[in-house]
Amino acid sequence: MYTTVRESQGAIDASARLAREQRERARLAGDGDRAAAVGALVPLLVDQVMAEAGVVEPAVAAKAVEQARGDVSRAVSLLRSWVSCLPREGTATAGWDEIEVERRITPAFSEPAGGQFLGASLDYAPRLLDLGEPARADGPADDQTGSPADGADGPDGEGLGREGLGGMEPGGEESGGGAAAANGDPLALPRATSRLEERDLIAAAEPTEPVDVTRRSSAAGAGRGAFAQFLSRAETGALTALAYTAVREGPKQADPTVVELRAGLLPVTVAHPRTGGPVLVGSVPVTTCELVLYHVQVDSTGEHTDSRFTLGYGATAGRVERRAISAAMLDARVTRAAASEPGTARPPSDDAEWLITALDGQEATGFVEHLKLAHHVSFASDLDRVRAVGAVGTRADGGSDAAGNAPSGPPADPLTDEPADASTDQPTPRGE
Amino acid sequence: MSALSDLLRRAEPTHISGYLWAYLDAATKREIRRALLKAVCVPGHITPFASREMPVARGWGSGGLQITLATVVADDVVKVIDQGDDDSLNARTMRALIADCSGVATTTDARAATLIQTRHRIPEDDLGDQVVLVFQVPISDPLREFEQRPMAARRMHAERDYAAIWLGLYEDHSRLNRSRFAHSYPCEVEGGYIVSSTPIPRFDVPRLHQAPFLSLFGAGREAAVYAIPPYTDVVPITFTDRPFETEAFDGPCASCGSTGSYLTEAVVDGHPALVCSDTDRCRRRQAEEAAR
Repeated sequence: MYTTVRESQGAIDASARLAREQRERARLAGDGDRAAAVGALVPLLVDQVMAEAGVVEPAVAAKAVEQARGDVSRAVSLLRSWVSCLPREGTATAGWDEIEVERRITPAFSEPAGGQFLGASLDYAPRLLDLGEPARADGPADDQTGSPADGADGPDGEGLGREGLGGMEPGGEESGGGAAAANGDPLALPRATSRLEERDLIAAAEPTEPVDVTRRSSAAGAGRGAFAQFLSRAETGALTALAYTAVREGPKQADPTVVELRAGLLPVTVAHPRTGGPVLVGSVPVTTCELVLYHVQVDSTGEHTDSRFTLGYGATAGRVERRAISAAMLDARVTRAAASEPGTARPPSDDAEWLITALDGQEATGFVEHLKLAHHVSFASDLDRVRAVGAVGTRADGGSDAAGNAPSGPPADPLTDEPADASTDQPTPRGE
Repeated sequence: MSALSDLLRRAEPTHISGYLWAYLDAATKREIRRALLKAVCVPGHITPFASREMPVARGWGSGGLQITLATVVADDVVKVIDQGDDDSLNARTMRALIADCSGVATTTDARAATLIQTRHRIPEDDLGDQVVLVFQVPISDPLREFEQRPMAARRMHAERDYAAIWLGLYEDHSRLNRSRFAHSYPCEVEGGYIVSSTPIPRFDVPRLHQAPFLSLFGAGREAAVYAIPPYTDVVPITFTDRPFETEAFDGPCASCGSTGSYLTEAVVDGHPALVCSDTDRCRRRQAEEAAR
């Protein structure tokens, strides 16, 4: 386990090695197929695209990344518009407890019930750019990244996982189960937050009902469930930036602590259309996070204080973990703001409506980039007003100040005084 | 066209491999049509709908495209313009997409079209009641400038509380002696809601009033549609002693000599000049002039 093997470095090195080996295995599997090669080379990029699209289909997402030449926004657009064409056949709910855990860390508690599992992660490896020869395709990853402590593990990845990670097996693909299965019982990994809940240290929050914002006009006003889904699809950079502003506000306001980060495969079970019985249709890679904000709530009378933590929950498809952490942060901030005095000024990170207008990457990049389109009709309209309003200013100035040629004089008529080449700045392609 | 033959034609394989006729699935088309029916029944009401991701970026006309693809039928003749121009890149892309996934005929002649998707203009030609105009809308709510919170703005619409717009207009007139609104001039529809005449210039606004055609407005990014049914009052809001002003131009079109059309800057014979933004009608007028 993380906390018990930290001293030896074994778990940390093994975690990084596991991540590299997974990549190498995937790369070998994807030989000859460009999209599969993309998925193997940049799995976290594909994860990010799937998460922002709200679509888990790794092979198609890898194609989208390739066809978008690596532009995340465009790849998300390709993926979302592809899914727009597909009918929605059903819904399923799945719980936190059902995740086949590949990774579980609990920064708030050093020794949670069930233990911590690093899984495959580069978090703990030094960020040293490797300029050496790329690994050869004709063999497993070499041992250059392993520490001497790994020697006993042998070349077998599974043995490495068991030895280094306290019972965890690497990934769910071959073993069919992660840490939870290794422990024999999924319930062996209770939510770490339940420790706090049992002691009534978590403030009550709005109950969460699942809402599909893709089948609504907007996530605004649709409750915490809709907001959670919105955050799970939010643009990674914007999501991170806003969560960052919330942290930056300082511990006096709301000190966040991640209670638990859990990643793995979430089985998806739907009702059979005929029999109604449960059918396992697949597993979705997910990362979930629960964090708490510390703050002391004092009402205007100064009498009633609430010092319980505010719980934030975030989830995302894939393994880009800052997405889940950021979503949990913003969920907590919005929950806390909702419980605070009405009329209190809110920073953007606390305002669900503000976040909903800003964090969808497709809306943001689409609108910003549409400014590249021709605007000469509306701009001519602007120019018309510039001229008219400028003419008013001239008349007013003319009465009090005769210096008509001063810099503050009448502006040049932009429709007639522009040099010829200026008008060709944005040529509109004409027909043949 | 009968409903049956229409259905049969829709069953034809799509022109883009792997996609449905007119791109959207039937459930999405039905949903968008329902939103449009509501929008037509409540003229000027900003009607929410579950905007889909489209193969064009959000903000590039995805709302107009969804309306077009949800309403297009097999015997439609489609015209697409951007800035009044059929040949601008965006219009070409959009037109090719619509035609490829539905197989409908396209035209550049507004008089021959039955469905015109447009960005920023209304064609200069007189349009009859056979045509539906689909506007691409960047910002649907005229209150947005004054109230950024969508829920609050929705309430203001419901209560017809447009004091903020009127106050802004008053401040403009008292300070500038005229309105500051350029394009997207706010208009009252049938004595009820105030809508944004989405970035068509003020020049085009009077043409919406009692127009014989149906106007549908789609904002994909904002997930909203609104509509102005045929023969509906559309009144640009202004004070009774302050007439509504349209854009004014110095002189006629340098290419076709038209004096009654909206002009934009271009280069004619190496010199900057003002020419019609409706390029198809301008070319037609030049050809007629040459033939004479």
